[in-house]
Amino acid sequence: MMTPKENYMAVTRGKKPDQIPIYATNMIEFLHFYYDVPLKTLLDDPDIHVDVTARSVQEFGFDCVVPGIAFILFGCGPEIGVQWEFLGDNLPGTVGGLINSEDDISKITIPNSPSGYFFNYIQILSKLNKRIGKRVFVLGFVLGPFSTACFLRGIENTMLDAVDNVELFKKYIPLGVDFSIYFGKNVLEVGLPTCPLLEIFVSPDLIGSEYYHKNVAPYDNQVCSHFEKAGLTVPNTYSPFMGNPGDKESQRVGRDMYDYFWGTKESIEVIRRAIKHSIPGYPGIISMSGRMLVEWSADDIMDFLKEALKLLVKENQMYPAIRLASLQTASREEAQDVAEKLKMIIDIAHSYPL
Amino acid sequence: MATQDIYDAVIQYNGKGIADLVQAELDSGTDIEILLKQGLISPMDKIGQDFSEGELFIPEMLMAAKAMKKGLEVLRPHLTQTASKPKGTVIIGTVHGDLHDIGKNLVTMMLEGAGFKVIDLGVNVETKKFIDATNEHDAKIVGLSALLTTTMPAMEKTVTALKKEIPGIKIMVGGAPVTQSSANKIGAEGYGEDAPSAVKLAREFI
Repeated sequence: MMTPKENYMAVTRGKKPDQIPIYATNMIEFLHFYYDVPLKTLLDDPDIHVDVTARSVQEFGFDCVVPGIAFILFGCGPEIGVQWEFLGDNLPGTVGGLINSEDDISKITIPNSPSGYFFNYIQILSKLNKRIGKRVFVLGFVLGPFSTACFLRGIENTMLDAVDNVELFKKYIPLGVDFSIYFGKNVLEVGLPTCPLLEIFVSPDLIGSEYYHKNVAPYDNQVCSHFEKAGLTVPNTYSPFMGNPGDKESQRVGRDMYDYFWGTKESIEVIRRAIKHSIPGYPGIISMSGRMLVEWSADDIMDFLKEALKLLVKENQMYPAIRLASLQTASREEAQDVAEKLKMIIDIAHSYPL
Repeated sequence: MATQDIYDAVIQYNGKGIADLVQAELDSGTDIEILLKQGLISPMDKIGQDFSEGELFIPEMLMAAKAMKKGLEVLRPHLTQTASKPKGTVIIGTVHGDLHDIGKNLVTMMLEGAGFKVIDLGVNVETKKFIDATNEHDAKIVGLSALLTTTMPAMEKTVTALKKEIPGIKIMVGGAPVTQSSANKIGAEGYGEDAPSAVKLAREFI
């Protein structure tokens, strides 16, 4: 009998698992409402974050879990000088970057060791891995250079600088690379099975392939190859979605794959289109967004899931993972409703004949 | 022909020379209405259409809007002296509890590019501020933005209060956690999936 972790690892290798695994990510708001813990506590107290995450794994039977999905935790928190503001019981937002002019760049230094919210993130990953990591696949992210630059300089400024103020962009993006390597070093030390590069502000909906390959990919590649040289892997999970520059067909396929993996447009048709292609290291996926879990009726969700499983498992001999792409809820009532739906989803997945 | 140069400057994200081009056209006596519509609004429509069709993306939209704004700044003092009136006034802001503004900023730029007067209240905007600004500017449209799922109740609260205080007001909502279904549920008249669709909605509302 495979452990949940082995089930998940089997599908990432295209092998037959004992049961269809469940991959849960982006669930901080769900944990907040469902277990009645203030969001700020989940960010400030790694022990509580680990407790509620482990409880959710126990209660719902997740096979793979991605804890700590909150931008402030990824390394560009107030500990490096980026200004954040907390308003009510909501996730915080940035209110000021560090780079307002060229002179500011030289004042920014890479820390020697994690502190503040990044320290909390490392603690969350490390403690959760110690607690459930033998049985459950725990995944952590390494913030990529472009997204780091967006926090240091502001999103709009960074996006514009890359084309409009190239000289300045070229002066601060190496700092993004250095920070990303520093984040990666600390996340990898936790000893998780994989730690992909996370470019929060990069998706085929937001930026084009040409822009990506000119202004993002070269710096992502610097980070990935830095670790590769040391025999470590930080996979760049965004690049497959961006297509090749000048190649409209590959860009269209990339967008299809993005919709498929991220559950941005759940439909059987999206799955049917996407499974004509494959991305090495990715399992077949049935992505279900928080939007779907909140707005669709339980019957509609179950019908979709059964049809998707039939398409992938029976008709295409694939072993998918069910990816709960964003367990985001806006109230306790919504969280309870989603929890009921989750239990039904997991019952179907774990008992589906393979 | 020179109006075409202004159009091209926006389409090509060339903000450097656009102010001079607009000024030169003004000096040569070109009709302000033509300059605005053909030189600035028309290219932004094209940018919006290309964005909706996945041909352009956020950096390009930001660049085009930046160029358009530079042209509009030259034109603006003259607009008030002529019969040329904005299409309508839109009050816009990110709802209370939410500090995220890139979506709101894009909608603001695109609405301005479409000839609307936009009063941007910024982020973390209290319901009362939306109501006061709508009354003060006699606006017929309000745009609410949110990124955080947990601020959806604040959005609902603002929609409810606006509709109660200002009968007939048209409200459009947008942002990552918002969908057509949630917009319907909270009583908003429109849901904009992206900035160009917000412009389309605003045009329908006027």
